[in-house]
Amino acid sequence: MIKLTNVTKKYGSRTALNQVDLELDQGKLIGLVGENGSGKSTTLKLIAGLIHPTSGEITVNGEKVNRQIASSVAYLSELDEYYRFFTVKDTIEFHASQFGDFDIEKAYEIMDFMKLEPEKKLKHLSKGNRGRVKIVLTLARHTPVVLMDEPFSGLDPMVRNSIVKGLISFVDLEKQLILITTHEIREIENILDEVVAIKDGHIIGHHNVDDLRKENQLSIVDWMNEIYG
Amino acid sequence: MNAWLALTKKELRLGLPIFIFVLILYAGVIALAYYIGYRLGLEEELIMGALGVVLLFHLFFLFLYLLYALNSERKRLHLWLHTPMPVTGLLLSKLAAGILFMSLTFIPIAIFTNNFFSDHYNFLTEQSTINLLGLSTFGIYTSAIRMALTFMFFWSIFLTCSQRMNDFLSFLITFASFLLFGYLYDQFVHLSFIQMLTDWGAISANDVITGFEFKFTMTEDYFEAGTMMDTSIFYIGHFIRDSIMAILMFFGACWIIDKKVEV
Repeated sequence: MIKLTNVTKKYGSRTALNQVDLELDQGKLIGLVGENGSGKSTTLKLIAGLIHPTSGEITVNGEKVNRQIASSVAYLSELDEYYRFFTVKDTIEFHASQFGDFDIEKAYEIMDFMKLEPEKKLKHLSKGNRGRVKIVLTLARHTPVVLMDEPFSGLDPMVRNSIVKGLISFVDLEKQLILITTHEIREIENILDEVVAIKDGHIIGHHNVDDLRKENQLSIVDWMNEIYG
Repeated sequence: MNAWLALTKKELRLGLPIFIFVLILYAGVIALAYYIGYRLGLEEELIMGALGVVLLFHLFFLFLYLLYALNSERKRLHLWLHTPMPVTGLLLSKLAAGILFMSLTFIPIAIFTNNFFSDHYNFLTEQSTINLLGLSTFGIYTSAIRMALTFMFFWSIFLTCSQRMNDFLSFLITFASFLLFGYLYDQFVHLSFIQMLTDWGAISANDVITGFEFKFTMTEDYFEAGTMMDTSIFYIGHFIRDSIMAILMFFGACWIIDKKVEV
């Protein structure tokens, strides 16, 4: 489904990702964890075709990634910048017009679930509600790959909880691969199938979460404490 | 097509502040000219001057619009570029919105100018007025569009540079490339081979202005009217040459944004 082969990404003299090989399969909810600046966001942007690898190759469903991969990859940015003059409803309709796979009915369903007011302008929404809007826009697409960069960043536990519930309720885990980067591991530990740890641009571990629990008797946080020292 | 129209609708909403700003600016300039003119007893002269300023400024409307619209998008590149739509579609949508706003501001000004000239100056024939307005409209639109396409090209260079260095240095590099490009293009158009290819389709001002002889010489006792023959010649070949260059720059901008700009 997603394959990174010997991928290196440099920003000037700084190496963000270093010769990364990674394969992620369909139908899984995967957490990409690591410290700040470890290369999590870079990995997601590379898969979304928003940045280009310095060397190596990235494919999604066998298709080499470029900017047009947006037709099969939904990407939620960590940035909190949307068109603030739009209402929630306008935003949903605008996204529906731009993506052929956008399910507007599902978007309204998630919007109701997230208790968002459709006529409210984005500029008048709280940060938490803007975070919810991002979730609506991402999960309403029927794409094989969903990338979520820090969806819980700066949000209070109530909002985080509603986002986790949204993930469980609205993701099609038979057809979709969800890759989430987050520092809030405990919030999503119970819903993750796999966890990938990244440090200084290198993948330092890739495990099935159940195996980690059964074979090593470790939670993800315990495992992270172990590998990050 | 629906996706593009919806995107253009979004562009119109995004660009609304600059449109309103220009409308207020134009109204303000004309109102100020009228007020000062009324106080000084020079209404006609000052209003004519204000209309000239407004029409000249309109050449830069599209450039200013794109400066605003593209810089607004710069903060949201992750949104703007995360789309299956090719960059040509994204940029054309901005251009279309800009041209629509430009027309909405230009049409009332053009009508006002036409009426003002008809009411106050009768030395131009109706045909000449229509020709002049037509030529001005054509000139303003084509120049504005060419300027806009050129701007998009250099904006894409600026955007690429700004990923690696700060905005001030990126601006300096972009400005230096603009000057270098201008110099090289000037050398190119003056090559004898290029001149041979493009010096055709001459149109003189006399073809536009009919029934009035423009040129005059004033001495102490009298003034002598003459014609504008050979004083102002415009080549269709030059227009096509510059338009091709602008289109190439547009596609250059699309390529740079697609392949070099990162979020």
